[in-house]
Amino acid sequence: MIKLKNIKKVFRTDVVETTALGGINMEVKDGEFVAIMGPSGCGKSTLLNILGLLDNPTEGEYWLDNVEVGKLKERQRTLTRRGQIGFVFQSFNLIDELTVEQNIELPLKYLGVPAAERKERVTEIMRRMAISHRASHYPQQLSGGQQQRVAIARAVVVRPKLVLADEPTGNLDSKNGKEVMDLLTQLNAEGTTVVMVTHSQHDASFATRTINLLDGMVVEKTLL
Amino acid sequence: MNPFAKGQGAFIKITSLTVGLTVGLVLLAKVQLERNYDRCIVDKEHVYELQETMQRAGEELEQHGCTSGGIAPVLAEEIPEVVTATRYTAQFGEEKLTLEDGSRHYFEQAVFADSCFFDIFVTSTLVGEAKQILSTAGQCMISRRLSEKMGGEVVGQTFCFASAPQKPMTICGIYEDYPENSTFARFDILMSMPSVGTYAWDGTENLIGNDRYHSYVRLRSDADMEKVRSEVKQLLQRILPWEDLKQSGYTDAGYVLVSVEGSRMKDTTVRTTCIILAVVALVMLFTAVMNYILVVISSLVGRARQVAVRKVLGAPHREFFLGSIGEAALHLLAALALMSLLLYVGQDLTSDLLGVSVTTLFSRQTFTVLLAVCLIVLLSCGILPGFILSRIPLAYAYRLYSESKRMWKLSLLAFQFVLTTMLLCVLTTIYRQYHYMLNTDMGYQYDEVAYVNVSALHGDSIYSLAREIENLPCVEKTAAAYSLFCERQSGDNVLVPGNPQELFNCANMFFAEGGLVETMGLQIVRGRDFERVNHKGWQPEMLVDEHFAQKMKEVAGIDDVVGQQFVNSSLGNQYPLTVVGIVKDFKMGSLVSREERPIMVVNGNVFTHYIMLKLQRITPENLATVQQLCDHLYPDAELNVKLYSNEMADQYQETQRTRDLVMIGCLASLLITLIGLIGYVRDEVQRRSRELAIRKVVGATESEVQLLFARSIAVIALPSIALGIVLGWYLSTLLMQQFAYKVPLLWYVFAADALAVILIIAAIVFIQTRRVANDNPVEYLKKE
Repeated sequence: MIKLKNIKKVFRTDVVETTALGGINMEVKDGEFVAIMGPSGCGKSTLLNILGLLDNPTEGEYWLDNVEVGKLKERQRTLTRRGQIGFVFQSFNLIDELTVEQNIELPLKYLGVPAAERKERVTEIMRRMAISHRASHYPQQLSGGQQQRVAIARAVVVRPKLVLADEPTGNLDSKNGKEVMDLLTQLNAEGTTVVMVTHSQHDASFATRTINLLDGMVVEKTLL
Repeated sequence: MNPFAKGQGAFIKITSLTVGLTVGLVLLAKVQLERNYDRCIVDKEHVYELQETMQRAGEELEQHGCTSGGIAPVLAEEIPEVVTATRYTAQFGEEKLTLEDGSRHYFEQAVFADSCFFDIFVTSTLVGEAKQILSTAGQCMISRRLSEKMGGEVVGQTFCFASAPQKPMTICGIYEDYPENSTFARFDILMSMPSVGTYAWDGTENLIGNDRYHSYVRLRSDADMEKVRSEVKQLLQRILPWEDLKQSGYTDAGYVLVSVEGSRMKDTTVRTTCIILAVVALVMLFTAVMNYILVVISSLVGRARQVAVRKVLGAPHREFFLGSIGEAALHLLAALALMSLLLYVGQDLTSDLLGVSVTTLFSRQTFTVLLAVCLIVLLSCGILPGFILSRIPLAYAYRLYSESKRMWKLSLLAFQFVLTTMLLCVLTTIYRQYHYMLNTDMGYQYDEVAYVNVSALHGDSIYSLAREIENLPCVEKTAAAYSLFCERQSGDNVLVPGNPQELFNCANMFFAEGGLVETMGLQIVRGRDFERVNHKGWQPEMLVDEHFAQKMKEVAGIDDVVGQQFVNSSLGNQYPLTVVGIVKDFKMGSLVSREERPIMVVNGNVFTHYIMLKLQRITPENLATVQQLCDHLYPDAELNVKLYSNEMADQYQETQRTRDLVMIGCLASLLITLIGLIGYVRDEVQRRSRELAIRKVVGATESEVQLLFARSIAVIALPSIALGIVLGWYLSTLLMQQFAYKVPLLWYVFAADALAVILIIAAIVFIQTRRVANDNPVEYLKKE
């Protein structure tokens, strides 16, 4: 599903040039659950942004479903991302002004799904994530675990092939963290490819494979 | 709190206050000057202008401001309640006089005034005994301004007007200039009333006819107006020549007393202009204040923590109020300083636009109003922000302040959209009207026409000069004429010879040479043009317009006026005039006031003041050629070749001024609104950057992100623009009341105005949101 060939990412300012990724080669197959680990500043999030088409690599090739997407323009990246990739963030990134239901519905709207179908799919995913009773609440009225469940619901409501999670349990206690990891595992079991960045060895243990990064390079791949 | 701290929008606040105050205060000052017009008339509530009323059988009563010369003194003598009475009449204007030493000096206006002039129109007499001077033939007083221009030591000297070179007048006194906002501001020379006979037909004792005088009376403070009116009526019954009037076809005639108090604002043009200017001024001030408050609210994100920390440390609420007012005071002072600088730099432009000098605008007369406005601005800019600051919760000392206050901001923006759209509509209307005035078909062609004022020459010289000019290769045709088409013409009554009944009043252009029809591009629809009279002389024949022929058919049953003889009241029965031709109707005067009277002109080269000339083409070279010829032939006469189109444009100077003022107001309002809009969008982008990033992550394209903003602005902008259009339509209707000929108010022009505002707003929104829409959303999520 994902194939990276010599991916480099260099951040430039007027005075300094920082290499975040120094030439990543990796592959993720359909249905895999991959954890990316490494110390702070090693390039995990940069890699995840490139995988999620939120950013372009400076060099190298990124093949997603056999299409080269590494050099797409912003608009093309957005259109490719729509419906294919779901995101889960450490800080949930829900929109405070929208209710739970509206937050979840948002990607469906951008995908152009008709209102009736949106309603049906949102209801279904909320039921599955056990947050139906919070449908009309605003994010700030929810606990951290509930917010992350909403974020996961929003990520998967479009039935993406790929879910990218950036330290999804980083802001949660162990109980809520476990619930989130169980949900991701369940999604993976249903066929969704999951790539997760984490600091936690415990969370990484849910993955089928771990990729270790150091200073922008893959240093070791662990197959569990 | 530092009022000029970075991030608090001090520059934007001061800029919008400066723009708003400069335009707003200047316009309010102008309105205030209009309200204080003719303050030199003391005891105004007891001063009345005499207005003449005349009525013919079957026609409406006509009332106008000029009277015959003798009526004011008669009222002073016969009506006990009249304390004093005066009259004046204009004679010369905008020309030069020549002193004994040969020096020439330009003056604005010279009028004949009687000895009681200063009793009603009060100003200081600096030199001389006014009553004595104004009662003695051949003597005059001049304004301080003119005396200074002439070198100061001028009392006792004699001078001659350029247009009356052989008739000397002696300067015997000097009076203080009248204020700029008075009827008499341009009066430079007050000639004694007994001097009238030297320069014109003497009608100073007339009780009816020769109605060229402005007459005023002051009544006793305890006068009963009903009684005075009744006494005036009885007096007129006694003294007016009623038999003659009846024979002339009049059923009623007389004089009425009209209070001068507030008379300026009763004039439709002045009142409408003042309303428009006041609206523009208030819009400007309001918009500037709104914008100030908008910027304060927008900058709360960066300020809340500091305020909350102060509160935690025990700062009382009043500290924020006082701080806010102090800050507003400093911003206001900075804006006033910048305004002074702007006005100093642009004082000539301001004077041109408003017709008064900047020093008069900001004089004692307007000081109170302007001070009051500044205080209101200060309180508005200080109190509301102080209130908002004092209500910032303590919790923001340790939390990020992201309260949107969107409704506040959008409400303020909505006001600005309404006002800007309204001004744009008014601007479009007045621009179209002005364009229409300058370009509408007047019924004659003046694109290639120039003219020379030849008042300083005699008839023979005028004839010779006209022919010399006509001989120039660049000139097609010339004709000497008594008046310009765009001037208001005198009225004359028309009679059938042998019948004393006056049939109707017509606009009499007096004399014009053969060639006028061709020079001015008139069309003869029946009969023939004048044949040119050689040298100084005239023929008893006249041209009339279609309206004249139609009126003659209605009133006298004459089907064809060509070949018929008529008498006009100026030349009298001994000079019956034969109609030789009818010209197609054309618009006499200007488009501001409709000329309802039929038109006539007599064939002749006497009393002509102008040489009209049609050039092959209007070019600087051709004009220079004509000018050189005039200078060569009459080097002392100071003849000036002028474009007729400029004369037409001068007729619409007030409209042009209003247009320019509304344009400045509109541009300034637009500028302030855009500043406000840019600030709003910038702050909203900053406040919502995380939300936008999330939307992008979940699939929104950059255009969808931009549309999100556009939609939130459109919700408030579209109804505001609609309201602005309605208000603009109403103001435009009001504005158009002052014009006799007006452009229609077209719905699609207003729609185009609305579209223009929408496009400007959309452009601002799209430009401002472009960056956040295109940036990597992760950057914004990281900030969180």
